[in-house]
Amino acid sequence: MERSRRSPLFLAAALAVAAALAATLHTALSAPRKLAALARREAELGDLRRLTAQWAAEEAYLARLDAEGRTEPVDPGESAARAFGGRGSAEVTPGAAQPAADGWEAREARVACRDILYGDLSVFLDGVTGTQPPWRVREISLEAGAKPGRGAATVALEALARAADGKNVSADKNIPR
Amino acid sequence: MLAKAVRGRAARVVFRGEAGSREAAAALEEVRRDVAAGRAFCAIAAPAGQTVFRRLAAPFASRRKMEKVWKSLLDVSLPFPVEDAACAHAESRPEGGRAVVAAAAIREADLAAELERAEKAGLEATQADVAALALWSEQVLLKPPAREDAESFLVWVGLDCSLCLRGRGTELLAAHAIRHPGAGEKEREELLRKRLPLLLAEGPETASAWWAGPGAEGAGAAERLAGLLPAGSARRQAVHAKPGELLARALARRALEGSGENLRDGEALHPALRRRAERAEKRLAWGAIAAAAALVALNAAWGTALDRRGRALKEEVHRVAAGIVGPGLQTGQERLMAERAVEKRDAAMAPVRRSMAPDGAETALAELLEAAQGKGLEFSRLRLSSAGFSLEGTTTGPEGTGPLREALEAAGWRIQDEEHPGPDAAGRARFLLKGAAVRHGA
Repeated sequence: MERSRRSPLFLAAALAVAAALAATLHTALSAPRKLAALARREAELGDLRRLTAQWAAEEAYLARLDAEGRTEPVDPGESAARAFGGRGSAEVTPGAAQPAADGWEAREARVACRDILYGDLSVFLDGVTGTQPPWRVREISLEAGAKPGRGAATVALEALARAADGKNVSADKNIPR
Repeated sequence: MLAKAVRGRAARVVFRGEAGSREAAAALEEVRRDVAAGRAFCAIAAPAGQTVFRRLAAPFASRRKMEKVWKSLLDVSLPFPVEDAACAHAESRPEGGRAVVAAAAIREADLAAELERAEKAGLEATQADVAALALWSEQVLLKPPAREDAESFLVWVGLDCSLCLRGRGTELLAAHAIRHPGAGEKEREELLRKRLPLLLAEGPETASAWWAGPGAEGAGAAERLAGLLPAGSARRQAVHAKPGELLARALARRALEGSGENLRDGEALHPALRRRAERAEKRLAWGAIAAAAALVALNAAWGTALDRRGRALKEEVHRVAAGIVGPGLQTGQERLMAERAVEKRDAAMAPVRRSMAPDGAETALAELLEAAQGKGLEFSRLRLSSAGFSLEGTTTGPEGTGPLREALEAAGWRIQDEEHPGPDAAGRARFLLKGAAVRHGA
């Protein structure tokens, strides 16, 4: 019995078991680090995919506006004239355009209204925000007049519009893609 | 006498006759072939007259401890040194906080002589069992005790030596050998008549007595053996069916089951058993090697799977990042370069994002007016963006601006400042509220 226990076969078995235990120990010790690295990379991939999806949605939005020929927002002056219909006055002051992505620009306008009915102001706002590309109301100020339901209002608007020279997207080197 | 046990069948005597006969030689040759081929075991009983039986008790219940000390306990009660003896023991059993074990020993020289004698007769024994233990196990098997505390006797009337066994339930308590080598039937029975009453007196009178052995065979044996008991004994007694075969069948059964003891151990171990043990050890070693190899493979597979998944993720990250960064993306710099590209593009895309979700100050205005409705308030000046508001007006209600504040806060605004400059010309309480949007963001 003793002789066979010391035989090369038993030695090989002992070595194999030791190797297996060592391999298992190594796996057990390194597994948390490897799994954490995988989790980090999966999270990174998830972030990048979300970003890509968001960019794709933005590009699709711009492409749709281009495809539908909606590259200019409505004129706020015309909308004001329709909404107020001679009840009060509105003065539109265009702001400076800021370049945006892919040959588009952000336009601003300030509409100063005097002695208007607030109901007409609501019609005006619906008119400018309900079109494509929409005007977005950045700021609004109201000041009550002498008569109830009337007063002055100042509305700051911004909208996206195709820049005058913005047909060629790649021409704009400052904006990636 | 040669008995054979086959798995699934009761042991039976296959040869009974003179040791030197042709039939005996043929039967023993078959046994020898089966043993050599590893197909069978061959067990003989160690000579009962030279075997010492002891019931050992240790002052603890642990079986493991008993395994370590039983030989020392046996040593002190043997008439010869335990180092010169072949020893065996049955499984220990607990008894009132003690461990009790039935052990047997025989001088190695006596056992060797018996094995040599058997070999000369053509019997190659792989095992030398303890006759007392074998007989008692067969007794318990054939005549199970009605109660665990019921004592009984088994008297094996042999040709050269008889055995008187006393047991309680399934446990063998004592075994006494009565040697009568070369004695005839009358001399033997005369000796038993003298010795048995003393041995039977060790147990209660209610303990039944069973007879077996070649001396218990033949017509009129029951009456003859009953006469060996003390006169007037009311002890219940009976002779086993086929009494001469009891030991042979017990040895065969125990050898097959592996429940027997083997005094032929250590250096005296039969080569067939040694080979068998070595094969078992080899199987164990190969099993360990196979299990270890499987474990190593499992570890390697697990590691490879993780590495593969890591590489696939890395490639996917590179591919997706390349879609953001464009050409010139450096491996290992994906996240950094993508973040830079996002940062650079974000400023340019902000107007696009606002245009896609155009809810502006008009929505906030509608919410604010709704919050103020019915609160007894009049607004004179209002300035509002998606980030914050300032509101001037008068209140006529007794609760002041309290309800308005609550409504605004419930609608997602945070009041930052509130002033009350005093009443206006009409005596109404003036107020100035400033706040920021929590829900609406900047």
